[in-house]
Amino acid sequence: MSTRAIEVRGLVKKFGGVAAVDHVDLTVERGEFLSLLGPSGCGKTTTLRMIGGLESPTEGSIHIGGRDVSGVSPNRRPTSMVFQDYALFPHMSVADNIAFGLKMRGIALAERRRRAEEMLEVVNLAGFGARKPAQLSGGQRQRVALARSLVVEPDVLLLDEPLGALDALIRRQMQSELHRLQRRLGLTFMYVTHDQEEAMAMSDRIVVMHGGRIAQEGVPEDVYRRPRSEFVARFLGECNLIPTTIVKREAPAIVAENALVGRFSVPATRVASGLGPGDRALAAIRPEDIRLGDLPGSIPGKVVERSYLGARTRYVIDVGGATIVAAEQSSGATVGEEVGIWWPEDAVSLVTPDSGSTPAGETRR
Amino acid sequence: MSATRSSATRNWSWLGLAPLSLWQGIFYFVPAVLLFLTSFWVLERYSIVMNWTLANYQQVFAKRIYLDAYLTSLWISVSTVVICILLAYPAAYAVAFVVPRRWQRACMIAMIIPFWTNYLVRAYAWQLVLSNNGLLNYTLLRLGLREEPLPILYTHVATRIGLVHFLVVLLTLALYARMESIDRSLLEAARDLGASRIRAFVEVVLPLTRGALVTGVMFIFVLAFADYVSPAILGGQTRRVFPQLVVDAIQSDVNYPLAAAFATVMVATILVVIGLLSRMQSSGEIES
Repeated sequence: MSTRAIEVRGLVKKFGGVAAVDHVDLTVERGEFLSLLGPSGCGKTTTLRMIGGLESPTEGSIHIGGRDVSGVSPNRRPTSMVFQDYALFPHMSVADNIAFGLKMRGIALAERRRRAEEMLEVVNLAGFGARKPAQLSGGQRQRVALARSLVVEPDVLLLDEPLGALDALIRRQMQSELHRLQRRLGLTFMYVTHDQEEAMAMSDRIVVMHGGRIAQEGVPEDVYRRPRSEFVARFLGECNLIPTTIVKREAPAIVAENALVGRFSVPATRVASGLGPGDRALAAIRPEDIRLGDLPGSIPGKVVERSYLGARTRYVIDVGGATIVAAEQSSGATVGEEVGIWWPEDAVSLVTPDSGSTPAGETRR
Repeated sequence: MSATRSSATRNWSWLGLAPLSLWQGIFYFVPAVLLFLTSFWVLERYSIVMNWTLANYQQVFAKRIYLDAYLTSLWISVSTVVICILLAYPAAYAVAFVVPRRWQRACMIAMIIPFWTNYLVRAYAWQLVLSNNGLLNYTLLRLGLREEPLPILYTHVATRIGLVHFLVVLLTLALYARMESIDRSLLEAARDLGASRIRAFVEVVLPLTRGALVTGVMFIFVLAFADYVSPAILGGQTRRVFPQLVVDAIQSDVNYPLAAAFATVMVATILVVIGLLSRMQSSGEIES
């Protein structure tokens, strides 16, 4: 058996001539928690639905557990889907909902009941079997949907924004529960979300999608710390993007230049592929990597806005007309104060600007 | 003080229902009671005499032709209901789940438009299609599929065709309205969990449309059981149905008490059927 749970090659889905998914290649390893992250309309849900067999690809192939599943209907695939709105059967009790997949597989009633009970315990809903879905809270329904999918022992669990409808507190609780469950059962999870924090909190690997294509993939830290494009830098949280021009290659680094901050070098590993001397690029620096203080080499600026956020304080700093955002643990600086800012060399990534870039000299957030 | 005032307000609130109650009373309740009472009177020398008797009812059940007509009516309406169910489910399902959303409205309008055509006109139109030298038999003979014309007109096969054509849209609409509100992800979830298309229909669509089915069936049954037009124009006079007896009793015999007894039996039958159907509807909700 192949160690790859899912292998997708050249996947395309067109709706009325418009490509919702545009040549996507991806692999999911067995036991991996992979997130498809992106804004709405980026093709993440369509990709997931094609893997589950609920949508048929226009082009490309999907292999699940090494088997080509093109033309295989959803009821014959070793996948199971957790839907965004749970899709619990309103006319069935919780126990019957969970046992549905087993019933379809022709498993006897007594066995079905036993396994549904077991599953209810796994998702901490023991004793809720006789209720109707309408009598449950959002979080409880979510657990039932999860149990219903898990009970059929799928090779891959597909989750389509399953926590989207829950409020923040229950959401965070469910995130860690899902994560623990996935670890404990050793199952392969493919998780679709538009919430970057959620993706980072749970995933082994994140695939960022944009406009039907994969923008970047990697472990959460990598995608967050070393974005390759302006889109990824922006989508994964607040980011300073300073327009620069690449001056020269100075192995193992690249030297870039900006009128305000001068020349600085960036390690070659943090430069998006395809960028070379003479190209325009954006220097992406996360606010938490910006340090305040008068140190040798720091750039003078002035605090124009200060918001105390508890764990951190967010400063907006004016640097010769451009704005830089810094998130500091100390909350000492005040509005109007002259401060120096600097950042460590390895905090900068040079990313390719999205088409339709703003004019140089303006920092984008 | 305040309690008195609130109860005074409540005392007058029933007035709001007065117009409706009055309407119901004058145009429905009073005639129904009169009809019911008339059925226990008798006709003597062409006038109604208030001699309380069960003779009319005895006739209904004792006379072979009356009982026959009753059973024929029952059988025609039950089979019409069954045919309508068999036609309406696939039609409603196709429009709700297969036809793209922007074409759904057009499909439903196409189904409803014939319904606006006058029922009598439609019945006569069916005569043209079904008669021995009508469109159907002409085609069959021309294609060499039959040696002789198929005798459909003036049989209850024709009656059922007329009834189904008239009534199927009611059930289709009821089912479509319910199906349209079923979340598609429920069907997808069923498929995803291992159900074939047919199984997903049986496990999800069927139970969720049970209420609409029962409502639609009530309408169809009542209209088919009490229908006079289709049996008279398409079914012919050989095997008469119950509503025809009512018309006969009034038009040829001028026997209002007997007609009232027929009508009372019909109303009673309809009430029993509606009662049974509503029990099905409510028990369906408790059952898992």
